[in-house]
Amino acid sequence: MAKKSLIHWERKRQKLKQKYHLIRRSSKKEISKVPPLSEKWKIHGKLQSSPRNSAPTRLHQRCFSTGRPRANYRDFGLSGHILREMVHACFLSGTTRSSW
Amino acid sequence: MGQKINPLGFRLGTTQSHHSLWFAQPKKYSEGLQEDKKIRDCIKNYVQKNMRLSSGVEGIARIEIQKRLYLIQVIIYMGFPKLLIEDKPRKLEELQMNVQKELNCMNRKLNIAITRIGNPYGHPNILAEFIAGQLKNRVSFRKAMKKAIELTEQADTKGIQIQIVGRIDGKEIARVEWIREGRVPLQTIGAKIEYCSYRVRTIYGVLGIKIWIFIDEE
Repeated sequence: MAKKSLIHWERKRQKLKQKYHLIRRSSKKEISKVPPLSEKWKIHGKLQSSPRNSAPTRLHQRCFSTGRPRANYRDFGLSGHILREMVHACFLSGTTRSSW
Repeated sequence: MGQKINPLGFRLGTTQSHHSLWFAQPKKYSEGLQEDKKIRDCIKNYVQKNMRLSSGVEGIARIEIQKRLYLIQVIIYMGFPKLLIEDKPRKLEELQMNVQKELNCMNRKLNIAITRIGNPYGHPNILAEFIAGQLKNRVSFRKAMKKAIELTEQADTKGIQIQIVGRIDGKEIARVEWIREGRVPLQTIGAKIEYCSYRVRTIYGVLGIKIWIFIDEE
């Protein structure tokens, strides 16, 4: 089980990303539209002024049940080990062992 | 010791049905899974809390969750649903309120139903809880296993295998003990086998109990 502080930092980043999502998107569109470079610097300044943790690239997928930062599958939001346990416990509808 | 696959997972396409039945688009699948996990944890904690007050053996065999567009149907299969059914239907409503608070979804109704299983000791989860209780009270493990097997013989089972691993009887050196009655054909996919793996926390550490019950063969 990952440290609780790490899991909470991830949640904080997700909240900030939600909060600043529209602002960032509109700023990025403006940059691509406006031709002169000086204008681009100004808009870039706006982008930089939003907090770092609002950037979506800073998010890291974690397993929602254990918080493991590695071996995560986006389809399930789980790490491989927990995924295997849940499949065997018949909790994931439609999943079976594959063999062909 | 060979590596044995979990017999439930082994038979998932054929003899074993899933405990969660719902469909979700790939992007929403993990949210559905998280909801399921919250429901199951909420129910188990609630039952455990109330069990301490009344000291009965309330075994939850399994929790089935079916989801539709506007309804979440939860069916709890229990062995001895005394608390939740007989005394007052208030307990069931309390459980429903708790789960709804956890989920906080406004657009879907939640419906919890409780089904009693015919032979409660024919199901490995309930049997495992029984053995766990015995081991915690420091009954000799052989006695506990044999008593469990007697209970299953009253229910209709064709075979049972029980394995206990860990510091048995509190000894320093951990070992594995298992007994089998009847036949338990693990390699036959057509055989319906119920399986449970349960952890007991004793003062000496954790004991692992695994129970395989052979129910029927097609």
